[in-house]
Amino acid sequence: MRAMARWSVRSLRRSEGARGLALLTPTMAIMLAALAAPMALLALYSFWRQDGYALDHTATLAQYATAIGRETYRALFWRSIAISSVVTAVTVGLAYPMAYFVAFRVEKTKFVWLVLLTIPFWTSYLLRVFAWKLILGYNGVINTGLMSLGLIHQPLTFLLYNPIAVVVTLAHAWAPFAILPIYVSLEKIDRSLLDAAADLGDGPVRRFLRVTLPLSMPGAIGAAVLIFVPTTGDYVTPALVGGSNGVMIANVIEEQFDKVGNWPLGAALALASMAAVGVVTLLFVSAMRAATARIR
Amino acid sequence: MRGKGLLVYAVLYLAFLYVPVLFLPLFSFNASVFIAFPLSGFTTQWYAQMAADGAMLRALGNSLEVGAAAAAISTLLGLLAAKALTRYRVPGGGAILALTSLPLFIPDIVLGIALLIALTAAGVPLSLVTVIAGHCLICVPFAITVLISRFEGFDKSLEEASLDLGENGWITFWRVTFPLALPGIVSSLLLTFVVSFDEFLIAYFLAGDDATLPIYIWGQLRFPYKLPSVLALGALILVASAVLVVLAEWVRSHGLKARRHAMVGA
Amino acid sequence: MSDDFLRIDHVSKHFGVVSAVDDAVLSIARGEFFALLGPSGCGKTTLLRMIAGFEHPETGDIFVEGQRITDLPPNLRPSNMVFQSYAIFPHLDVFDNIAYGLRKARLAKTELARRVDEALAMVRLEGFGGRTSDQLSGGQRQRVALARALVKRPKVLLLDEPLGALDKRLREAMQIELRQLQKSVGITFVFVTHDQEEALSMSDRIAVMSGGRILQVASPRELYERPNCREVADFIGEMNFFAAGEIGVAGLAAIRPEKISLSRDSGRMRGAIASVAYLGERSHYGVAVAERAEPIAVAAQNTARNGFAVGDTVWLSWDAESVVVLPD
Repeated sequence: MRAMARWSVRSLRRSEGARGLALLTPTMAIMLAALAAPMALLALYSFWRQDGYALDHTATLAQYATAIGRETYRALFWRSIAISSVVTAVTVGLAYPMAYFVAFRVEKTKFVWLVLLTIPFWTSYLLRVFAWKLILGYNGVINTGLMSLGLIHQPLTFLLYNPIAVVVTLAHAWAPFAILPIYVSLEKIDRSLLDAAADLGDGPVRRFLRVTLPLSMPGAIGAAVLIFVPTTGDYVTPALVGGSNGVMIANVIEEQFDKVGNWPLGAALALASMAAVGVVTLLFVSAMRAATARIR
Repeated sequence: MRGKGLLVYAVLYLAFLYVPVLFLPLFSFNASVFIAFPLSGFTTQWYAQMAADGAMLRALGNSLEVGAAAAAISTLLGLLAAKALTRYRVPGGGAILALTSLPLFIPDIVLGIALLIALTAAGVPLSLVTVIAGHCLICVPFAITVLISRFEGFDKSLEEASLDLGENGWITFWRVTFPLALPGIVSSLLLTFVVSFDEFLIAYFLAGDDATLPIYIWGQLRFPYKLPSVLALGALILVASAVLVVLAEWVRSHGLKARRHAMVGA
Repeated sequence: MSDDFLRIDHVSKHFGVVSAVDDAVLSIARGEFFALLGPSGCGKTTLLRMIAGFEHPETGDIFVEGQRITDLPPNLRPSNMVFQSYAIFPHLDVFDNIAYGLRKARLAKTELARRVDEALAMVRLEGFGGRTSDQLSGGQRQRVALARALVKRPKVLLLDEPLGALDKRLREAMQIELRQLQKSVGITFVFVTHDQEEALSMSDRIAVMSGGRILQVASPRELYERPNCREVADFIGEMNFFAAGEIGVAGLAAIRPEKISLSRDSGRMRGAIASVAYLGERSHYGVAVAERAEPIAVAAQNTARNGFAVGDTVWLSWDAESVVVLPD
């Protein structure tokens, strides 16, 4: 009797899992086809060679050798990582107080603030980057504005076509991505924990450093990763406002597929940069986690 | 008094977010081809010019088609996946969820070239259809996220009650599951539409002869005399996006209210 | 019990138009186990939070050992609180939770460890230092919250419905444990609860509150035997109320169910058994009496002889001293 019951429960669970899997199959199949297969092909390409108009399928590490070996490419990797690191630090650093404000200082209008903060995200990214080009340009908004106010007599040239312009533009474009994860993790903090900290002797600053900050770290780290990884591969911003000093790895990759026609090299550059970004991200996340765990 | 500092910061931050964006509508009404201060006077000529631009209108139509298709497909796929992951104890569900979110963590450039390589290798010609496929790839994670959070807040016993009261599975789906999931579905459709509508890089790699709107805009950025009409377009997109966002949020919170009623016992 | 160790002096607070605490006056002695008792919304938690410093009184003052603490922020008060949700820090293990309030004092590592171990032993959680919040049961978390507050050796320990989340058996065990702990540590405990049995069994004195006002402050026995108004009489234990004249008393009268005895032969009032609830060592009877809408509740010990059944005719009797006369 008990054996029968056990069997039927097990088969129920099995069929439950099976039904779930059946529902998942279309989505999984498509995602696998659309993601895994192309990525696998990308990897394959990175081991091949472009021979004139044809592809030489003999396996070779030549592309990686070029990607990692050539000075200019290496410098580009580091510059992309450096720029993204600064963008991430600036964006998360500026977003945290904003998210804190909505989580802790706003009672009834949280919804309004959140909507206001996300609306810019929904406008065309291209146009937002372009707006900065207009703002920072030689005859742009800042320069003509300052000149017409009589504050400067020559347009400022350091505003555009350099890494600083890239950093400012990217920090502006990715701000909403930072705010939401940080806000969610701040909002989740049990307010009675803060009362307890105060009750046990902490003033507002100590309380923030010892309770709020460590508990919101997962959200902040998540925001950082969410911003760092995609910005290393950003194409539009360096292309529009970077000039020749602000070129990033994505621009060079795109070249391989467009003007140069060396797809294998492009593939190798892409995968090598992904690997580098992955390593940096892992190091960053473990370092932050270790640092946070030491807060008592 | 201490609180005021943070409020000032918040307002300044908001200004930082909006001011660059607001230059678009500002200069779209400016009677000068040059985007510079001082302002030259009010005009709506750029809007007229934009409305008459055939190529732009075609690109707009393409983007709308692609967006609608990508939204519908990715929401459907997301719906199936969300239902499976929240309703049933699927073995390895956590890993599957992580897998489907992977596109969010791979830079667009890499996704773009990988898809280009795959499609070329398979001999598939580039067109709006390939763009739709590429967009679905990046939209599905958004759809799944939205729909999972919708399903998780859903009281399973509502469906069980319906079954207990005599309705079969299909009717239960129509009378209970679907209406309650509807706000989530609408929210997902809006979100994925906007993601697709705005997406540039993957479309750039995967489009054939037909341009989507971002591709068209990218092409126009080199021509200074066309800039103001591009700004006019940008201003309109800004307004439309704002309306859509507010709409999506209203639907979402309205759905929450309906769910609360349902949970209390309609 | 006359030293004004903790004194609440005409404290009031409103939330909007609702009066949460209305002119509260209270004097709690050193080392007392004091309960604030009342239904939800009566103001007891607000009052407790005002002592802790999380709410500020609109009028009135609070004194501890003669020192006015009304305007002090919570972190500077000589009190510590055990929160209803326990508020165990999820990112710290048990040791660090308990040590949390001691860090500022910059004790030597060995001294700190000694104090924490001492606190753990006090709540019988020796060896739990390395555990994290999600590895603890509800009862264990409650004890960690206790240890965390006690390790700071506060002058007053405030407890906000600390046993509410525990199941019945655990709750009863914890009631005894808390009482013993308080006696051994000697700290003044102020305890908020809506469970009158709990308050009666644990406290030296109880303040019964309703609608923001303190109705009566007395020992458990006095509250039970001599409630000063209908509300208190009704809230504490079960009570039978008699209108003026019903039992020959001018004014509102009340008698406890166990003070009424049943007999088949004679008594002051005749009635019929309307309901029987058999509880093992006792039975609760509802006796219907003519001209009275509500049956009279009688609690009688079960002996071999006295089992009554529904429908039986019975006579009720009581001693004159058992009748409590209440103001209208």
